[in-house]
Amino acid sequence: MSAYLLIISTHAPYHSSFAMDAYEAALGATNVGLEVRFLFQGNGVFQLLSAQTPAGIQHKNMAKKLKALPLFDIEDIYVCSKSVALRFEAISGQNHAQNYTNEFFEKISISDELEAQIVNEQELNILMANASHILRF
Amino acid sequence: MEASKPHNTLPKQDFLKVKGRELELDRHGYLANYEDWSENVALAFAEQEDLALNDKHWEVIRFVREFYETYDTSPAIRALVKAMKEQFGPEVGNSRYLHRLFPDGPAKIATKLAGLPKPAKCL
Repeated sequence: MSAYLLIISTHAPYHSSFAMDAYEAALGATNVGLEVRFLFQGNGVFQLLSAQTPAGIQHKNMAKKLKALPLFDIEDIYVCSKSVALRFEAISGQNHAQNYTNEFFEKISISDELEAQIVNEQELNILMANASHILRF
Repeated sequence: MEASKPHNTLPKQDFLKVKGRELELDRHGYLANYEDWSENVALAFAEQEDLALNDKHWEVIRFVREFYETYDTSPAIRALVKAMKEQFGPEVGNSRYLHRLFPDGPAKIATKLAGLPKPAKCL
């Protein structure tokens, strides 16, 4: 397996610059020829929601920006299923949230034009173990 | 890349005059408000750049505007080439073709003519 830089984005967009920092670090790394994989974890999964209207606070739309990742050769994009499930549970009040991961994606219509793989904890461990470097934002 | 080029000799201006209207420019000389754009804006910028626009130029200009609306990002060259390749195929989506159309830098000039902000520089 080739060496790759794993970038973990763990913050919701807009309330701080973490989400943009992770995004720009990823683009910057590909500019110097590194292979980059991108993981959304924790509140970072909120960046993927398609119904974002940040124009009112004069921000660029994070979901739209993320759709451009493949144009910068970042095609391995992952979403932590547990992070999504926990948040779905909080929003919907339903228990046994693991089962609702897919429903979350459909209901809240996560950007459908960005192909992301949903990974469980075990897959996540492998993803991190095989990374040559990890940057967490 | 830019350092090797002579400095722009045009007088620095904060407004672009288009059909009697003065449109605000940003500090890079790009249109400050994306909504101010019209084809006349592209023509005015093209005149500044000494560029005679043909259909191929317009195709790129319209494409980068669509790109901006889709991705909220002004396309840098690599993303522009890749996106154009996906839409138009390798004949159009390659940097040689684009450089022939916009010799001073396809991403830099096409985004300017299209009324977008200057693309963020690579590291």
